[in-house]
Amino acid sequence: MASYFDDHSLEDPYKARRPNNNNANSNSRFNPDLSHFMPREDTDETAQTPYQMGATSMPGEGDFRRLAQLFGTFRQREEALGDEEHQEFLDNLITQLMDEAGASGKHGPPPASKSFIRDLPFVPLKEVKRDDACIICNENFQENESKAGITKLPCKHFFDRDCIVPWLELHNNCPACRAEVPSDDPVWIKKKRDAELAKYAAEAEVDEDWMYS
Amino acid sequence: MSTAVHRRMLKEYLAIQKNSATRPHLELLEPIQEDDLLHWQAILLGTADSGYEGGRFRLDIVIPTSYPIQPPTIRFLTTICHPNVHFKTGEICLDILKSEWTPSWTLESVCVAISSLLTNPEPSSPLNCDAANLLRCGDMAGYNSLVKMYTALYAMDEDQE
Repeated sequence: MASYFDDHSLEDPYKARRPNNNNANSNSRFNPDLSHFMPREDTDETAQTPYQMGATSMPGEGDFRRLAQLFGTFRQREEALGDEEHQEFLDNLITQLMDEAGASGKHGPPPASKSFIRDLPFVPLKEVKRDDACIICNENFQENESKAGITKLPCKHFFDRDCIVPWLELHNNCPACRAEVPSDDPVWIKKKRDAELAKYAAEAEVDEDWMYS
Repeated sequence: MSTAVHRRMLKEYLAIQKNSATRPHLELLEPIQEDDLLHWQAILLGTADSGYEGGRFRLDIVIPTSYPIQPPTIRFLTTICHPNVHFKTGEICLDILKSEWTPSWTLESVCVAISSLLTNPEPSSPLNCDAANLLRCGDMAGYNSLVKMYTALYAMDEDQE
């Protein structure tokens, strides 16, 4: 995606020669790459994702989104032609790219499961120590009674309910120790399952070795 | 939401003022204007025995209103040659500013983390391929002299006040 000039943060001397509008039939002298077809700037994305990507760096959120937009244009063309199979193919591709855009960048672990958030326990004020503060708002629990109450995660870290719920709605771990809590995310569930299966498989292998040694 | 972020930033500000003696590589960490706690600046000092020695590196810190659920956006204003910092935009590639962010980080601890990134680069996820490639080839002499040169060029005169 990035050219030699992008990699080296230089001005592309050929850029001036590139046609700006859809000049598909012209026999231009350069080989256009994907970045040529995409808008170079994306107003709300550039702050976090520069368009000049290094050859070996990960593609950013904006790149996926721009690619999805590009395929969206193709899709509109297919719609006019009435080719349903092509349309469906492009639809899937666009969905996948938009998912990738959401998954990369600032997004970390998936949200905690709805049932986990719903069933967060209520912790009475006397259970927390006098000096304990919620690490999200930095407010002492004792001085902060008016809120929706205190809760704790399975790792025994205490938080204001008002503070931890917005976090758990984005990520399924403890802000203090990163201990995981359940998620509804299908990818997370599958990963968890695979890890468990691998663990059982490893244990079974150990058992066999023991039997025959 | 925005009152919560202001209360937390005020607490962080007070804590930073109290601890100022304990951070040798952080010359400055404060809001640019006293009445806007969502826009900060910092100055990192290059550590001794590194190519950054003698350099002063200015950081621009923008706090989102959803902080600390979302991480702050931090970039270098001073041009710096580092595998994980974009040479032109100053964007920083550091996991704790992205996927590994948790609300237990503070501006102070994040700045300390960026400071230690300077001497512990991660060439496998580069934003500056040339610097990263030198490191990956094991050309420490070349890497160090490149860093030294850019530090002398951009980080020594420009920031003098």
